Amino acid sequence: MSHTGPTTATLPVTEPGDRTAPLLSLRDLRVHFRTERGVVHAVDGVNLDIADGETVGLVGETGSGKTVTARSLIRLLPSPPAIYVGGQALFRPRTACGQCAGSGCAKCHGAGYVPEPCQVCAGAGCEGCQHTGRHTLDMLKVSGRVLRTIRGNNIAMIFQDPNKALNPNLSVRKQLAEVFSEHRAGELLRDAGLEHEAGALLRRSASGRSSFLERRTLDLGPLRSRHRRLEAVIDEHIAGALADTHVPNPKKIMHRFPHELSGGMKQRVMIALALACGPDLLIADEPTTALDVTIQARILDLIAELQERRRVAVLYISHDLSIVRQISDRVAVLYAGRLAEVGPTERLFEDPLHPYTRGLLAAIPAFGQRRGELVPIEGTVPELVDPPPCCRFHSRCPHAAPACRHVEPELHARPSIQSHEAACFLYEQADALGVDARDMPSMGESGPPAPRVGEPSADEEP
Amino acid sequence: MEIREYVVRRLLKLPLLLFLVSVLVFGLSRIGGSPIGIYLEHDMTHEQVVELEERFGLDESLPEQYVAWLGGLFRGDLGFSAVSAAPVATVLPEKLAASLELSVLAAFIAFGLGIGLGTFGGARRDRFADHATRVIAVSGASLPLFWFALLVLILFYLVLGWAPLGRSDPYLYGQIVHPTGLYSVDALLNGHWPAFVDAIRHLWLPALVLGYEGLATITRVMRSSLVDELQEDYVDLARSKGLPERFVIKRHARRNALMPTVTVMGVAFGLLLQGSVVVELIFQWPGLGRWIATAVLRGDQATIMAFVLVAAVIFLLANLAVDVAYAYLDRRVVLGE
Amino acid sequence: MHALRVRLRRLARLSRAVLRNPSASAGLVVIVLMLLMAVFAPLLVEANTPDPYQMPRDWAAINAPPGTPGHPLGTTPEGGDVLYGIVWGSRLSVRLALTVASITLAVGITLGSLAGSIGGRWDEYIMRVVDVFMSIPELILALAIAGILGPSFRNIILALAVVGWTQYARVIRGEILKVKQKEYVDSARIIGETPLRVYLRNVLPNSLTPIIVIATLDMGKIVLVGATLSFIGLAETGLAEWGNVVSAGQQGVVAGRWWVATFGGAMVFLWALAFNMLGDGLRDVLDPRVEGR
Repeated sequence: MSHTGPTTATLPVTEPGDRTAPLLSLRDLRVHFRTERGVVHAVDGVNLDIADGETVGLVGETGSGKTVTARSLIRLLPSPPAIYVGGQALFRPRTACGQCAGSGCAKCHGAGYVPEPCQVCAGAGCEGCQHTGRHTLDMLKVSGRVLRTIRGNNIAMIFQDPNKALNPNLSVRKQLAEVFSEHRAGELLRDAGLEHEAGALLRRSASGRSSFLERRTLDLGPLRSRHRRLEAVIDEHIAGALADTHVPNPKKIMHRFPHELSGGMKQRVMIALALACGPDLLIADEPTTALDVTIQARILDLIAELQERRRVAVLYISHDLSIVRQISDRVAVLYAGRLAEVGPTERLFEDPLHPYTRGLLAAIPAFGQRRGELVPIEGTVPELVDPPPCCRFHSRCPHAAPACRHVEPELHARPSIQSHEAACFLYEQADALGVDARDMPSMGESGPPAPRVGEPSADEEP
Repeated sequence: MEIREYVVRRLLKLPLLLFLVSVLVFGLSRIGGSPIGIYLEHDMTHEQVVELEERFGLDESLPEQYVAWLGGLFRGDLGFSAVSAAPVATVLPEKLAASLELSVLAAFIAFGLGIGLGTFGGARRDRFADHATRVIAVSGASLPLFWFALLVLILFYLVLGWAPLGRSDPYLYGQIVHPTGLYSVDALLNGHWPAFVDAIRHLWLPALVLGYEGLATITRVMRSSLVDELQEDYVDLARSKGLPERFVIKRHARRNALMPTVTVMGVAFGLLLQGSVVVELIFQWPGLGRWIATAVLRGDQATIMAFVLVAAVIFLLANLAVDVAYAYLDRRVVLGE
Repeated sequence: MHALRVRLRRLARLSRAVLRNPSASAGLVVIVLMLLMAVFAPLLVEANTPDPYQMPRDWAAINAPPGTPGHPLGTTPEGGDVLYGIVWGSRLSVRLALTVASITLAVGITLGSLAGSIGGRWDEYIMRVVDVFMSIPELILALAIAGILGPSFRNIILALAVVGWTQYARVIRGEILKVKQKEYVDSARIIGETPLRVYLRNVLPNSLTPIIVIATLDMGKIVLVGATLSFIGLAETGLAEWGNVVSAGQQGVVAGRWWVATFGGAMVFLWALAFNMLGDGLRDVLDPRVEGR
């Protein structure tokens, strides 16, 4: 696969048992869709790591495959058209710190959570956990049952349009209670003091499994007071979750229906829903696109604050570069189903390597820019049905060369700056690829010449 | 506006509608000319005819006749049924009870089974179960009920001999008391097991046939709305919470898909009312349907008018119930106009 | 002229889309076959005298099963030839469907347009009348009308026409109200187009789409209800009409004589099925909201 050593879109593999392996590792993720026109290669070989507590921004235009990538982490794609062709989505969940039970201490570095040790080797490192010592799950292959324990619990998702993502006919309370009931039933019973006295009916109610008739029976029968206690505990949890997202008057709001709330409020409800069970990873699929700009800023602040407090890793998907710049630690640029560039945020913005990234940044209207000076990227996204082996951006790239049209570039870092990589032949050596040097692209007039191995970044001069 | 207010408001609108319906029904009875025809005999003299007209009040103006008729209605006088040779008001209750027994069971089949089948097919879109469900749905809309009933009769009565005609075995029927007029219920109340079995034996097949059109309609709408709802974002959100698929379908998708389905239930009620005419005729069920089928052949106006009135009242009430149910399901609706 | 050509091209495109739908095209084929059978009835089966719409009675061959010489599909208890009833019955069905549909469309669209466009008291009154008619299930009202007027095919047509216009009135009124709220009507008015032109140019073409679907489905339903009425006995005795044929065969069913009822009813079923499939196909093509994204 990679021809010049390990890439660092994936973080370096660590010593066995040190358990600092990344929270999420995507390895050659491939997701295709069977359509009438053929098999669409929506995501075609994505490698990406996310560390505990890290925010990674996934940027790309519509059709780049960013939503598909995100949804495949929890297998949330409609399965007849979607096929998980290959690759792995390795997830390494965390568990509450034994020492402080989630409140934060020296052992867990204040996070309250520690990586869950591998069940086979108890953290020592083995084949099963790829010597990381961490409990590892391939989300693409786990059973439905395991998948459902992870969803909402360890990996949660915020959707783009809060108007459509919340069920309009269920109250906020009901929709939040669902998450708590699904994953924290035991805790709910304990908090209500019903741990030992709860019979089947109460247990079913706590875990959200009771039918309409069962609930009526509980409300009207001898178990009424106990049921009320349980409901009160649920109310407390919901109010707490809503308060965490700065929803005013949670006790009142929770009895409302989604259409009675404003856009910003609905989004807060969705965030509260996602964070209810303290997930390790939050997938945010363009959460602010449907909101007013002013509300946007507040929601972003909220996400950042919650992330700080709870040490949640965030995969933030957006087409808006300015937003991504604000909140991400690292940025991954996705184009036509493959990663074009990955790197630390500021570095990527100040020194974009891939011509696509450069184009994106150049296209953002700057304050003070006058009419007629907007610079779009020429051309359109290529058809993704059975794409030929080539750089997918070549048809729109100002530097395109014959090599670009026949060989597919892989993510590759310049030796001097390991953490920042681009999939572009501008940064690779012809002989290493076995390609004629004349077929390689060069910066030309558009920019500085491609750096040679060993030379310090000569491309600093414009 | 609260649901209670909404119901009250709708109920208040009923009288006007019922009044207009009564006008329509009355007008109906007079479109064929004066109803004196049914009482005439060949060798009547002119004086005798005039005397008859006076006796029945048919010499007065139309509005006056209408008022007289309406007055009679409120007094419980619905006219005299020629086909039953008895006052309509006497015959009506027992026929109504018989039809009710049949229709209620048919309604349960149509609505209950319809929702179930529709959900079943909709959740398994384009798989075999879905196609099988769709065949039922489409055929129900095109199948002539009278033909279907006859074919079913051929199969179950002629070939298999499983289903008897009529409503009951007269011997068993005579053995019990009839407080409600509903044979099966009365049998249970009497604790008379053989009579109950007899009731069910006669009941199940016509109920199934009667419910078929409604079943097809409900199934079709339920399936299509479920397919639509399953494509909404909130379904994905529910899945992303880790809920098992069956809860996602039951608690989220199906609940919302019930809205258009409930709307169609009003139509399905109408189909049940209509279908009872043909089904009762073919299965020899002694209910309102068969009563009017015979009345219509003889031009028995009193019976026809009474039947149309009863049908209208039932239909209007059913639609009201449907609207209330819908308001309960759709929380976005701001009740009131 | 150009506008006309655009419309024709659009029509061609829609027709192709409909024909691509297998069930819709199957329905269309059946409909065409039935129409042909109706048109060429005298050539297929010799007309009866003096009234071709009365089934010829062969008193020598009553209750004959299918395959009897001279009566390929059997006969009724009165010796009426079932094949004759089928073939000539198609003529009556075509006549029934076309007559009732034209009347109900004309009345319904007119009243509905008046209610929707003029609004105000007209709207109130017309819609009240619609509500009253719709308070009674269609078959029952038609039954009552035909029953009081007396058994005859003409009265069946009349009854169905009286009952069937309300759906079109409601739909057209709804469409007009919807369009009234759309911006392009306002802009047309601002430009200065007269209300009638606004109506004809903008409102009517868009409202036609659901009407076409409903009308197609209605063609099936009319014959279905009409056959039910004649089955109950509201047509002339011995009339060569499908429902009537089934009625003639009804008594024989319990005695094992299945053919009369089966063949007669099968025709009604085929007719309704064909129009339903065509109507569903049209709806899929014409309705912007197609199932599945």
